[in-house]
Amino acid sequence: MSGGFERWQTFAWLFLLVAGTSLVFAHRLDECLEATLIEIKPDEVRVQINMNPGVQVADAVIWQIDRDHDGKITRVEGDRYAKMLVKQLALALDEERLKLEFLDATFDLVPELKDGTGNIQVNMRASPRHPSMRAGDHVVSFENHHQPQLSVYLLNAVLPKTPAIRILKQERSENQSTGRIHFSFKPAAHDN
Amino acid sequence: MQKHLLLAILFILARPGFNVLAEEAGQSATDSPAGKIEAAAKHFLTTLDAAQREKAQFAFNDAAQRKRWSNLPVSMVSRAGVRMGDLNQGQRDAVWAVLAAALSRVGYEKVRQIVGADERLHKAERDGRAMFGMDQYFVSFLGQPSATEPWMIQFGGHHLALNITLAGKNGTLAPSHTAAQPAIYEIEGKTTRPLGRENDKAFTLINALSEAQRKEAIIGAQMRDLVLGPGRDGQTIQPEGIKGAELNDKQREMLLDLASEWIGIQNEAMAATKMAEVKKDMEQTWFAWSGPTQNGSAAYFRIQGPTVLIEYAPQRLGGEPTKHIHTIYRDPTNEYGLKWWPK
Repeated sequence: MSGGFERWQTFAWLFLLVAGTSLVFAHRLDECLEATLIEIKPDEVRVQINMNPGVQVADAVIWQIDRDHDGKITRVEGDRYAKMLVKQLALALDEERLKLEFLDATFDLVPELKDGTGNIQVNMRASPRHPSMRAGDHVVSFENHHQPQLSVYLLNAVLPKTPAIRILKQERSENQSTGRIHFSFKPAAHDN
Repeated sequence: MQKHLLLAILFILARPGFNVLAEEAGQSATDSPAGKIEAAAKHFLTTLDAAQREKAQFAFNDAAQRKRWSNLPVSMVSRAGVRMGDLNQGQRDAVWAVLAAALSRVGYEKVRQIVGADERLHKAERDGRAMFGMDQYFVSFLGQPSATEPWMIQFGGHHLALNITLAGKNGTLAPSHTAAQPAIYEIEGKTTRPLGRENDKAFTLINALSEAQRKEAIIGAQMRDLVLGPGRDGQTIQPEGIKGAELNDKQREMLLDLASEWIGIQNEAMAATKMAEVKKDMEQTWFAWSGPTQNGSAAYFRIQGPTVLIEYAPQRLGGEPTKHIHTIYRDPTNEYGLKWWPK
């Protein structure tokens, strides 16, 4: 989790930016869209977050990434930010808390992010301790606690690529920062 | 006299709907929808000088250009092609004639109304920046206009991205983005709602469901944006809401009719083929809703079937969300007409 001081600084950025800018036109300005896709596979769970910071909050987001403030996001800076983001997520399969492993991240150029048109994508995966999931009904739970003061959220299950996984129901909190995906797992006959 | 005659012919060819005149005249070269679109596109190219033609044309396999579309203004996300503001009136008319041939009458009207809404934003611009308005739309072709071979027309700018892939008698709009702000405005005393029919049909459908069906259809969370909007090519999500199999015949008809507001943007012949395909899958097509069910409210909805995905999302971005709408149309099995590409 980010420290209290970092959170305070993010608040300060947001206040200054929003207070200092008039609404010229109505596109996403003062919020960051965090759209999460969760793909459930028989042996792992993949998580992808696409972030689109609005123009008025882009500096606050970039400030967390471009730590030397040179206007460029290096691989090291990007990975550091993505790993910090991963720590602010929680994923569980049934009662088991899963450890999310950072896979890769892509960042559009800083000018694009500043314009409110840039995208940040972070890919992660997690595997349960016992790789062979039992047949039957299960639940994947997800929580996103990354920059709640800036963000709006979308949370969706990816259409499973295997017939062994069938999504039964998706439940989300009102703002979609947290949710539960109910699914059934029926291994192919030769897997039994 | 001959010059006037030539001009008159060019005017007829360039005006929207010339294909109808051509059809009435029984001109064999433009008898098929694909032939009419090809003829209109080739005519447009003849109105351009060499530099403009170079800007307008891309290779069919130019992946970067194919994906160069957005909901955002062109000043924020640059487009390529020929800018409408750089064309003279005859050339602009020729662009509109291409769209008139490629789109249905209602689709063409919708596109004009979306551009008209953006023109309203342009008139309200005070700081001299040219972000909005009719001049800020771009047209381009990928591949050569043809009645038989695959090629593509792109027309778009702020709140509009038409990606029309054509291959002989086949055609698709997937993926395309329609949107409107303001979503309701007056022009010459007449109220215009570019996405009004979509909105009204959706509210009629959600209110035609029984209480139990509505409970299934409604997603219990705010939908703040399109899930598979611009930039989300290739992603697929789990369908939600109520499945077509749980609707009665009348409700399924209403759902299909709602989907026709997007599918029917394309010219009638090509849209009919797609409508038949979607109709066949209606029992596997889902309808999801988020928000109040009283017409006039801001509500999100999604139609998702084996070969179609449609989202309608009011934008909660400071203004009145019912006056700023984004939508997306996709076909997960045939984005950019992939199944018709040369192998």
